[in-house]
Amino acid sequence: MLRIYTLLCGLLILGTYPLIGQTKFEKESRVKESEVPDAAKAFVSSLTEIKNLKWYKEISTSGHSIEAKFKKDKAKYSVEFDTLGNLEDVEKTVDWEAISKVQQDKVARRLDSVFSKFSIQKAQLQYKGSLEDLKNLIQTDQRSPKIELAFELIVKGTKKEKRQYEILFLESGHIHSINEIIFKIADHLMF
Amino acid sequence: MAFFLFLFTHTVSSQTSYAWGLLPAINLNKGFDNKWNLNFTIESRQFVQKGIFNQTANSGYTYELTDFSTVLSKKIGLQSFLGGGYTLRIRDQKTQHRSIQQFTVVSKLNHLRLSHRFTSDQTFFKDDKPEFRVRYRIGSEIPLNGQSADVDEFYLKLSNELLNSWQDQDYDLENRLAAVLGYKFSDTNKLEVGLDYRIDGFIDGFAAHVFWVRVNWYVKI
Repeated sequence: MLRIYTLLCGLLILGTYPLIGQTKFEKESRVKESEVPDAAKAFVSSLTEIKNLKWYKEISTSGHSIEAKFKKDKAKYSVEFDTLGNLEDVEKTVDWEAISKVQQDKVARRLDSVFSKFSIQKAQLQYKGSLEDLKNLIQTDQRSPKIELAFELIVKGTKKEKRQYEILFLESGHIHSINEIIFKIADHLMF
Repeated sequence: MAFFLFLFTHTVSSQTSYAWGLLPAINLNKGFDNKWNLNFTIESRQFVQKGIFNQTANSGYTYELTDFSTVLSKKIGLQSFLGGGYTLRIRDQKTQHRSIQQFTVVSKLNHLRLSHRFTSDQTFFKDDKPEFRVRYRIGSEIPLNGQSADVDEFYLKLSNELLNSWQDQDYDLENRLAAVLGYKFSDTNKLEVGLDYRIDGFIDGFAAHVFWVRVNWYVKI
């Protein structure tokens, strides 16, 4: 009896398809360079001395976008384009401790008012501006005053309980948006 | 990897046993209040062949056992879980009972997810001394497309587990190395197929190598 039951389980495993469906908020997957809009390719190829270039397609509730991720002078950059190849923003991963003390204090004061306890897990500088200004920024690491700066932070924060958030701070230190990060199910890593 | 090659080549002798077989598992999970999770697993072991290295195989297909396990876990941190459970093992028409305690931490690194699982269990037999085990497993999910394993994407799952076991006066150490290819049909439905290599008895010179073909189906209900 047990053997038949085990065999049935085995067949079920081998022959069953998805029974449950669920929409996903965000999906990022690799794309070939040939699938990238020409304008986006042209912008990235105008940059010099970049390494480890990879292209991604991101699908989220706010729409589709194309992202180029690469390294330049050991810094990690992510350049986001719309599906036509128009540049949307440039993000650079930084060590939060390397940010000016004044800026750190502005952000810390705001986080203090939101959470009883917090720690910053990851920090990215987000730049918005003209194509030429953003290109110069990447090339020279010098920011033109016309470029808009924001801070995208991954924060572990405690309100009633500990959660992880993605928070976008304006340069003024005000919060532009705050989104809780929902962790993917990890049943296959637990059992 | 070099360590496992060393272990394999240095434990294979004319008296070393091997076996290979199938290890299918159905894994059902039910979440409650975002804090609690109830896991129910059915796993069976079926040997396709057993034998001694460098000799003719001495057995064909044999059904070995079936485990019915349930573990209730509580999320105690951002991505850490404390759980306790019970396994009913049916083998040769006899039953064994196992109590389980486990603590798991999952973390997200740049391109992969990493898990550390610490488990202790106690197995009780009708006509033998109880067996006590302390286990540690490190596992990782590596997406094969993009920076995280999303729906309709493949991932690679690698894990290694060390199991210390004590029964009466005997001690043994077992190592389990697994590599499976997974596919995510949805956020709540995954299928994995791969290999699981286990070795035990190498401490006292009687190593037993077992190669399992794993098929895991995970469903969140």
